[in-house]
Amino acid sequence: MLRGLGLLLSLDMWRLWPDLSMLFGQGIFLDQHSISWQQRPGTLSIHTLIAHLPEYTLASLEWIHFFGLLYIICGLALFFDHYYSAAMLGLIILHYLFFVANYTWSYGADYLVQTGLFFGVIFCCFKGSRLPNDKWATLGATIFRLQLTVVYFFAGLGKAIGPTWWNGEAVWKAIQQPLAPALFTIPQSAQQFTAIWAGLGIATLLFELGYPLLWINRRIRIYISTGIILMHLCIALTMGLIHFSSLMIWYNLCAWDHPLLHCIAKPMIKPLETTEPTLQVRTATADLDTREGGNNKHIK
Amino acid sequence: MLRLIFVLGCAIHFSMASAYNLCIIFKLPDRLPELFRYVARYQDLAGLSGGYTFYGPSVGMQVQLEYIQYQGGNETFLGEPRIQSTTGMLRLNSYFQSGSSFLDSNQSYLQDQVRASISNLTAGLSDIVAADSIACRLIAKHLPASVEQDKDPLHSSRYIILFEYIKN
Repeated sequence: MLRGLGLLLSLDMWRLWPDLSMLFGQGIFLDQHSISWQQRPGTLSIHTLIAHLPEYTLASLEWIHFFGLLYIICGLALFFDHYYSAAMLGLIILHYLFFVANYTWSYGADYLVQTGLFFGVIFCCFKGSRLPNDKWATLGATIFRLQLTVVYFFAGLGKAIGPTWWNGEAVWKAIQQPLAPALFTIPQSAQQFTAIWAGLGIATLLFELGYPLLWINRRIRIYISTGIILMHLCIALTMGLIHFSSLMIWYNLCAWDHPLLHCIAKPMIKPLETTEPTLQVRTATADLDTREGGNNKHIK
Repeated sequence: MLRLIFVLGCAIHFSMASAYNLCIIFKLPDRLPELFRYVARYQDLAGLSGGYTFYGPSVGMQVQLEYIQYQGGNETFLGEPRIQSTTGMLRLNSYFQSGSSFLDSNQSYLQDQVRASISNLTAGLSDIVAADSIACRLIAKHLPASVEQDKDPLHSSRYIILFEYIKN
């Protein structure tokens, strides 16, 4: 899972690269006063770190690009499985500095990334000395599944307490005013199909509130996880939240070992859980004659 | 012993995540005593401090920035010319979206913050764009609910100006 996460983070930082100095530069876009409102008290962010770094080595804008480049390198190192632990630690520290300690330019996906990296550090860097690696990885997968269950359950609960997700109004508003340019625009005249929007709203609620059902058995797991993946695909297409959707699709594929994962990434990326190898022994159908020459009745 | 510590750690982690989200959903006060300030640090590190109630309980009005360049009697509408990437625009929109939550709640300090940010952005733009004066508007798009649409079929979406700042 972490290799895919490394790739996604590298890509997102690469896409942000043209605006890196504008958004994170010292007072270039927003002044320091406005930036400091979103600074978590007593924490070190990329803004405060660069303000304390010596100017005579690198200018502040060069420092930002240096840390941005380091972020991309750590993500790629994670993806290509080089210096795994160092890359993981570097990435969680840099992600925290860029997007969590000061949340001026953050949105929901950044916190979910931080959670993924946090679990990665706990379960991959600090491998248990008392537990074998496969048991430690299985434990990590279980805790990560539990985390996703909490995420989706509260996302569903937050929506369910209001009337707008039940009558479809929220779905309509969400797709009509995307935060980023949408890949697929739905015309305003489609508002008249209220039954469709209400159905989509209720389906979203059911998938999110029903996420704990994924724990019951494999058959239910396939249906619900596929539904959740399709929901994120629609979010990517209609709301333009490509990074967020890719992240959540990847988390769901890996956490629940979805069959799609085996199709797209199995040769190179393993899920968080290590599956036990199945012993392939053909069931004996006849007594074997081990005497010299053997009993070759069945091929006669 | 190690197992007990691990189980206890997991229980605390998930209780913390649940309590934080319940506070957001049911609008409960989430002020931690000074003694528990390390809890907040842990929440940041584990990515729990964002909350998971995406677009819940309802989807608000989306706000966006709009610049108007006045030069020689002409007026030209501009987007944000300094941000080039889509992910950069997404982050800027998200900043104004969270800043404009004063529309739904009574957090008046957010209103002051957004006002200051807009004047700051307009002043910065006037240094790089040739104009007699530049106006910056924070606008919200109001989408009619289906009930409003049923009552009046001509009721279409409209823009509401929340702030306007003019730099001469």
